[in-house]
Amino acid sequence: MRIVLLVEGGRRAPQALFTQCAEWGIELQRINLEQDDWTNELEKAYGLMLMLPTWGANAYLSPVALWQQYLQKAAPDIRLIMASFQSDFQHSNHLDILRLTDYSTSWWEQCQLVGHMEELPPLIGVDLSEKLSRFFAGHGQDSIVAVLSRIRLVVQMASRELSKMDTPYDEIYRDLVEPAELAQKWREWRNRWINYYPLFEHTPIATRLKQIAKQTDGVEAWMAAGGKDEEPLRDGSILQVLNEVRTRLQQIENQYVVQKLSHTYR
Amino acid sequence: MIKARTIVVVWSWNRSGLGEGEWHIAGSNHIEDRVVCLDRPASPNALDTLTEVLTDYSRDGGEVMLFLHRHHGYFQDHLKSLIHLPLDDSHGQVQCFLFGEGADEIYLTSNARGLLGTSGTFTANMIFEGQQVESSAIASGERRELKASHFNYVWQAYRQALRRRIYELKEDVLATLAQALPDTVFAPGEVYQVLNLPVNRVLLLRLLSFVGRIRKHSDLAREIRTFERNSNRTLTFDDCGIQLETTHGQAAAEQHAVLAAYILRNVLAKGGEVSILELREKFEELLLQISGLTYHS
Repeated sequence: MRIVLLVEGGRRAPQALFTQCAEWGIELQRINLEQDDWTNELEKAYGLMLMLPTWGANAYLSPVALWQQYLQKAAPDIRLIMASFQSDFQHSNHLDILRLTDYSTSWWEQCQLVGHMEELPPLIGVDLSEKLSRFFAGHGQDSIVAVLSRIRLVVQMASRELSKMDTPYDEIYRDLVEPAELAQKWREWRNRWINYYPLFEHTPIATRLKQIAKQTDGVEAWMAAGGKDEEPLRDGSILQVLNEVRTRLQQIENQYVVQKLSHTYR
Repeated sequence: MIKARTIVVVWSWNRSGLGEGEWHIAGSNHIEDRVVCLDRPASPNALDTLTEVLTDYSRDGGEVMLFLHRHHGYFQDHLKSLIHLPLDDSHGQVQCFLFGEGADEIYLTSNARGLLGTSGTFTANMIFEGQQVESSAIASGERRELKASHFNYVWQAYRQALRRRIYELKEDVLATLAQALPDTVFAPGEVYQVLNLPVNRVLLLRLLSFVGRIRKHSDLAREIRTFERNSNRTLTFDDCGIQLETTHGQAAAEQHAVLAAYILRNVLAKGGEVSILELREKFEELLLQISGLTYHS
């Protein structure tokens, strides 16, 4: 049996899809994108099937371009299969779920490998590739990275004053941290984060975003209190979290947002 | 020439909110755009006022979206009279929506780029994962300016609202019926049995609303509004046929009538067999008549 990984995308694939695939010699295996071990399954996979459009944040979403981009690097020799209820989806890798019996084993042979896939037709659903670009874009209120950078800059300066210059923290707090209104900036960050985070639940970056969410939860209390507590700044834990988050975001940006980098990390 | 865009919101502005009046949109690209706040409960006088407002703001091709709050006593019949105003061709398009008693994209609490906050304001506080976050559509309170991104989002969302809601209904109906695959044809009454399962209750209510079978103030109306509130999502099709006719033309309204009749006869009753493929085709034919994007990114 050939293994095809299945991303149900917040929906429930009909049992007939599994049965029909088995008849074609394909074993469909659901994967959990929140756990990073799913990437190990790619090596032995014949393909990856997306149920389209995916559902998240109260909307139908189109994550195909992100998956295509990811697989072209991670597993260019597998097939990216797009399964949907759309009858007018013109692509050799599209599977019409309502007409499963129209397909045969040979159809799988004719599917294009993701490394050589033809251009995707317009897809219904919020374009997550576009959303991700906006996530990183340095202008407008959509940019989450810009807000995080402003917070990080304050924390970095305060940390340096504290550890390198031996300035008393009450002075640093009064002159630098308090005027920076970290609690407000942090609310702004969270506000933007909640706009984006649920959208990418069924994409290859879900694991990394979950890690970021977990990390930022750890600095929540300090930020909400406006950075009054000296200790987490002195022991470097706040800056460390912000640096790690920045690194993860940079990795995502480098991998998926290849053009028009309008925001510079500081 | 750029057409003026006006959003008129009839809501509780006076009691503890910002009061009636006009707000402009920040940015040089939006000089002609505005949000007009009115606080007029439904009455013949209020309808006269709204007629004047719609006539006035739609002059010279101006486009207007009117939002009527249900708690102010507005319902579908009010939409009919306002949408069918006898305006000449020099007037732009007028669209009317009911909101409230549920979840609508115009609310900041439903959508971070909405417009309406709490208690007659453009600002809302929300709890997310135990944390309070504030969201505001105001760019400058002093200059009475709203953020362009919020205005644009609401404008786009409501312009596409029907197409999106119909598309989502199609997807959800097909996904539910597809669980019976490889069978693609259901015996008379069989689909209703599936829809009548508790797990499919919302879908059944959405279909009833789509075919216009949910009466104002009925138990079903209350039930679907509760689902809307709980899911932060608009599920009702209060004024579907009329909206389609005014915004997308007679062909769209006719296609809606064809699909609604099929659903009423075969899906919600024992009229005849239901073919999933035929049902999909009818949905797709309707969607073909509704121009524009389903979602904007």
